[in-house]
Amino acid sequence: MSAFQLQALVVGYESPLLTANLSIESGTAAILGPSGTGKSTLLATVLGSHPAMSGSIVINGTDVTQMPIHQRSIGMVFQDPLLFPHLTVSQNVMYGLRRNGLNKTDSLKRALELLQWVGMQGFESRSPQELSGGQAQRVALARALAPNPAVLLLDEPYSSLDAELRNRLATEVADLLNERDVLAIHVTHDQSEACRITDAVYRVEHERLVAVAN
Amino acid sequence: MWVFPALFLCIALGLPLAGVLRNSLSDISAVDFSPQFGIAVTAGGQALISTIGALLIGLPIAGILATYRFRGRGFVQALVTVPFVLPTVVIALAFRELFGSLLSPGLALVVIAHIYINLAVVVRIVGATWQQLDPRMVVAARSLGASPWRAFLTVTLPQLKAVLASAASIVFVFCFTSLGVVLVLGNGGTRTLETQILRQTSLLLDFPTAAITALLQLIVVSIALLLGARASMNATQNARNLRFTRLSVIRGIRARTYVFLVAIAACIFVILPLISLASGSLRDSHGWTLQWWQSLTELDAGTTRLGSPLTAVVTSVKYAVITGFIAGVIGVLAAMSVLSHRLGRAILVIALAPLGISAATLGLGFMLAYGRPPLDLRGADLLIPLAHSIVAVPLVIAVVLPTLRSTDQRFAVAASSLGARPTRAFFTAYGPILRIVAFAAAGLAACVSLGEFGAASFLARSSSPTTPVQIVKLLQRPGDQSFGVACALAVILVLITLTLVAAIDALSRKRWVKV
Repeated sequence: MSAFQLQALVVGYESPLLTANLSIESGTAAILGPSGTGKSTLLATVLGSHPAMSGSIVINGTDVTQMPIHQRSIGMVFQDPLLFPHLTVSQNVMYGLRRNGLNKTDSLKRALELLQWVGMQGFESRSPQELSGGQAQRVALARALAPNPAVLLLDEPYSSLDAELRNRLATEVADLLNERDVLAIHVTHDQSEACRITDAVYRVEHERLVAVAN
Repeated sequence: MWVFPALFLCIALGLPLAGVLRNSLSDISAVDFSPQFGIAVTAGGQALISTIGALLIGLPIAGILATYRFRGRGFVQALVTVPFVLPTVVIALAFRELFGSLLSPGLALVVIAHIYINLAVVVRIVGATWQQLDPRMVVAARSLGASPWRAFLTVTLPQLKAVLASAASIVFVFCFTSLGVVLVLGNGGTRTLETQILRQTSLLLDFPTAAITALLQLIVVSIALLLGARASMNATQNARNLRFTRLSVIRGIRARTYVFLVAIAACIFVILPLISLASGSLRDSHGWTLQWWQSLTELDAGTTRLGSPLTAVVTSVKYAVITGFIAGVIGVLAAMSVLSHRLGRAILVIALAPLGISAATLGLGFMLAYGRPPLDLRGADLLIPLAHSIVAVPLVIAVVLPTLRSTDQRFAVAASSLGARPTRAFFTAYGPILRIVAFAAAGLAACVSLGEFGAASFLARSSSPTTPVQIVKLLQRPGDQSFGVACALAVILVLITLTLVAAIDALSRKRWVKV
């Protein structure tokens, strides 16, 4: 059984935008497509912040389609880092760990490990406002991965960065995700980035998700 | 441009406050402070309970209005603003009628009425920031394992901390300096320094003690406002994280039920006292009647034989028109001088000072400066509108200045480059928008005047009281007739105020269409 499946999942608002059939065992899959084709709506539906019109989302054999967001075990890195401005860098990373029952000492220890992993050691007590765009996105990645989600969603996480930083960070993050064997779905409109950093590529064509490369 | 506002502030603010200071300092050693401190402490406690209540009730309403898009949202938003524009005396009377024998006048009723009045302050101030919080922050927290309630407590609430402190300080000041509500619902036992000032001047004729009480109140108010301003500065520092976000569609049956229940509860809470007030004007101990409305034109029904109760409405409208004119002109000139003169900022600071000075303190100041020989102007029709204007000018500036600031200054530069003199260039750029916004601001000032009770209670002659003063005097008399006539007068005041607010709203919309 695949670790992550979308079974005839229809997403949209008043009318359907996209129908998705997808099955991923491991690694990172990219979803490509122009703006307005429903890529971000698909991620919001998988995450649980937007309701599915029909179909189902299955993670490790469990249908999570009707589950509330906080019980789905899905992490997300958004277009903007969305770090909580009233918390420090380490507190941001600890947030998910604390919600999942880890005590303060253990969650701090794990947060520091993750920050070191994303190359942000020494920034623990900084405020998110003191970070650059790239730094904030690294912390957002550490925060999303901290509670060990079954699936990680990346919604064009580098789109607000300049081209050089975007390429560098995309490669670094892909390596980090491979290193930890994280199952990830990466939405982007940059074809070269998709081919370079992911294991499988899907494209939105005629309101459907079509596999284009493996 | 700055001369007229400066002159006005000297006459209507400087001299009265100087009178209060002079009187309080002249006889300071002879005054026993302990009763004033005792009242300050109990008034502080009352204001604290009222503030917590307003925050607890206002927060869920602010939340649904700032977060969700739903049918009737605009109506609910407008409705919760209504109590704030209504005269406090009218609201107090409405609650007295609503609770009748269920809850006798005292601290509980005072607190409920204060929560009612200040609901709009919490909903508007907190809601404005809440609406700018990125809703994806909550989604991010939920994806990290937080339940909806936990996400609110750990992500939304901390980001609202500064604005909550700011709103709380404003509500605290309003409740601490409350006069009309405490007089009508306090039953003598619940007092504020404001009611003390009134008692010391009108009953005991002890002006030095009243002046010292006013000074004590000014100190407490200044501390509360300073704390609020500090919190507000923190809010401004965090403002770079804020942005205007779109309202969300309500999803899920639980969310729908929650929004529906909060919206319905808010509507009932606002409307019920007003219905009760209208009912009070149409009922006597035997049932429905129109006799209180018929009594409005009778000389015997009021508190003075020189005019019927309805004369008080005429007096109030007359004062409101004069106040609208004075405050409108002075407020607009002050706002213009901020933009065009180096003394403008100083004038702005002084003109905004009355926000922290209670109406009773102003009334007392006016009485000390202009209400005693050799300069006794109480007979003149201008004294109350002057006092009302000083209360209303900060609001006029608050409406006019942001509009002027948002107007493109390059129009003035373009006009100057085409040969226009500075004044002509100014009016070319700002004239069209000023015409509309000045009328709206003057209407707002008239609204303030219609409901103002604090200063008028000091300055109104017993032969020609304003409507709020007439209502309170009627309530101090026993008998069904006095109560019924007071309710009828209050209903008229509510109708006039709401008509004025609707006209201001229509003008504001027109402005946006034109811009």
